[in-house]
Amino acid sequence: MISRSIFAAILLFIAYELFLRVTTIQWDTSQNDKSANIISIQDYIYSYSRKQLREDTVIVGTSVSRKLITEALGKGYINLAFNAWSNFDGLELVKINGKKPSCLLIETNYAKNQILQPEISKSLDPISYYPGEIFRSLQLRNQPAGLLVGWGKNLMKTRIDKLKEKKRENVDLYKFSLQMNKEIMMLPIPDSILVKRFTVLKSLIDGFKKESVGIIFYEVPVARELGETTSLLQVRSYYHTYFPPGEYKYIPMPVTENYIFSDGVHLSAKSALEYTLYLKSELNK
Amino acid sequence: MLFNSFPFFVLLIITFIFYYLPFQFFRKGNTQLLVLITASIVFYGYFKPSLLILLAFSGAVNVITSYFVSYGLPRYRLLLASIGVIVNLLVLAFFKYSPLIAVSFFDTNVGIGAFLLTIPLPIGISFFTFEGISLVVDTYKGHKDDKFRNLVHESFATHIRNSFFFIVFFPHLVSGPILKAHDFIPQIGQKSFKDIAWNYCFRLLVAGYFLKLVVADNLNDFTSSLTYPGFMSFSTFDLVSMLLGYSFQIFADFAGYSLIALGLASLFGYRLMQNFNFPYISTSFSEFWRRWHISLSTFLKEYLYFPMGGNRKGKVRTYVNLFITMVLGGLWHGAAWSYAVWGAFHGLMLALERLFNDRFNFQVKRNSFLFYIKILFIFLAVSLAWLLFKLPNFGQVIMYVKACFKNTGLVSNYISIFLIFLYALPVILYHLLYLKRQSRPSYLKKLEFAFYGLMIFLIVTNSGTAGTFIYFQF
Repeated sequence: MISRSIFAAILLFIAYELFLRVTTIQWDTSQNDKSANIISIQDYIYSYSRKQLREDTVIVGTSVSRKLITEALGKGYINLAFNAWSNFDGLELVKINGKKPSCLLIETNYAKNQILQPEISKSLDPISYYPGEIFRSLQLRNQPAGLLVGWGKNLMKTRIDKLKEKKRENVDLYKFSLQMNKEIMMLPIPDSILVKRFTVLKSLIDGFKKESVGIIFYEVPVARELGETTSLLQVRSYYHTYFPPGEYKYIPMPVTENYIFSDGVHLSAKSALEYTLYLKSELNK
Repeated sequence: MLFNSFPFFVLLIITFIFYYLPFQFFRKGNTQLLVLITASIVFYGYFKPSLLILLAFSGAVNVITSYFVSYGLPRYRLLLASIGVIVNLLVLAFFKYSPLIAVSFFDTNVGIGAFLLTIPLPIGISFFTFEGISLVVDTYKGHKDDKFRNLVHESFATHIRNSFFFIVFFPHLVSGPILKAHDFIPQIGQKSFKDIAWNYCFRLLVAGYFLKLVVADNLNDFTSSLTYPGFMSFSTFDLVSMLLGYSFQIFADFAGYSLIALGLASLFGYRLMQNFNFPYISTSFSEFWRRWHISLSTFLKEYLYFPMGGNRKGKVRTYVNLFITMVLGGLWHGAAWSYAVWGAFHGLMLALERLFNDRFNFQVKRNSFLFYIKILFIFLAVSLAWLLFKLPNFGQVIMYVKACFKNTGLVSNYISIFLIFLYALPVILYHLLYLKRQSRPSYLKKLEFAFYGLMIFLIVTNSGTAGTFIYFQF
């Protein structure tokens, strides 16, 4: 019984590994926000060689930057923005991984808690890293359930987009989400916490600067009602104090009147594309 | 240490090798126990060695009181046993319920209220204090009942070793099953490698790790959004799916842990009691509690419900006893009033069910339509009550229920709902197959190896993002 079960498991594993190697699946196989983050981490650590990255720009930030249509920026852009995490995690990942990009595009909307997410350290842990590098079946993007979902998402893309649009059109839900975000963002962040966080960020970013990595800051637009909230103003002011606009490049905020948001904070797909193209034009200047 | 962590596997392999090393058998005394005690100490103190002080104190109290209950002066037996039980309960109350006492009765910003809030909750305290109580009470019962005789060795040194091993044996130390002294201590002895029931261990370990890593951890990635105020923007369908998903998750998480514990203990020659027996096929609340967390429900029955009089003091007293037992059982789970409400809900349901059964002789034929309706009803009621575990603020529970009725027009996240169903499917099939065990086709038995092979394959390729076990917080 034991040997037959183990033999069956090995056979299944070999068959699945072969299947992954002969197919070139490009679906979005993420199952939730967390798995989407881990897939981004693993793609980054397994897919980019040191040589390639020297020509590339890495975007670091939060879920608001994850909405950017990275492909619209052209080749050589890697989006390492994470849902519910912060730009600190992206910067730490780039640092720990030891592959220096030509430029870092850093989102400045939030200054979240700077404790390295365990998923990042775990992905780089030799016990997880090397098996994942050897066997594709061990990478999160290739989980059987993820592939099943990716296939489904691909098959019903139009219908899913319509549902998202319908959800966005729900005025009551939008107002509720906006209010919820406003309540959170109106709460001031104690200066002691911000000083601590920005000291860490400063040393991290200056470390990259010393190694000739270009640094560009940008702020993703939010709904007009949230633009002047206490925490957003505080964070903006701290960025300008720790990274003065004279010494660091900042992408100016575009005119936000026409942007549409799903909850006041995250851009809708159409507006995300619009903002990405704006970002592209500013980067090309 | 977590059963699903790399350091644990290293510890397990080293312990296993030393435990069964041939030279063990030529030594005087049982060095096997010392190997397991050492491994258990490393297991428990790995992250925070200071926790070992409390474990040692608790162990010492139970070892000393149980020894003198057996071999001390007969007239002090009851007094010593009572002291043992009270000290265990005080330790539990101090470490577990101080924050609840602080927020309920004191100003938490100053003085005693602030102090009580700083007291840490040592992992596994609810489990090892209950086992300590079992040791003391069983020893006391030994003078009246043969079942409980010979639990305490006449040599104090051997008694220390046996009792401490009973409390700290790592498979059950932090999350149970809650052992009873009279079940476990008689098993202590020299174990041989050739006696290992490999197939039994393999089945338990594979099923346990599958339930934890593939089912519970993946479901956790979806049910973790069930927090206030996030859930207010989910549709009714999303909310119900997440709650049912949580119901399957809590089963997979805890039953998975228990199966792993049973499998590990068996690798070292010890049989622990089965903790789950297909609870979601129950047709009544009393049946549910005979199938869910069996080691806790039998403990509460033996050490609380029976001593209170059980069902021997009339009908009304039986209902009251059931209710009190369940409220205290609820509070055992956590230091929040919502756990007491959860226990009260189950206590009330058990009492009402008993009252109904006392009045009417209502029998439902197995496999009839009504039989399945009863299963569904119990499952839904139990699942609804899990909300009190997930949202420990009672106000949020009310808001969740309101949102379920209000958010009918919102668009659902069908991908998440599909995935919740997909990950819950093994638990559903596991229960359905048990329900249909008599009419199960014989080829399924022949294909058993393929199911285990598939489970191993999925453990390797489709585990969720590893998390701690839900019952660790209790």
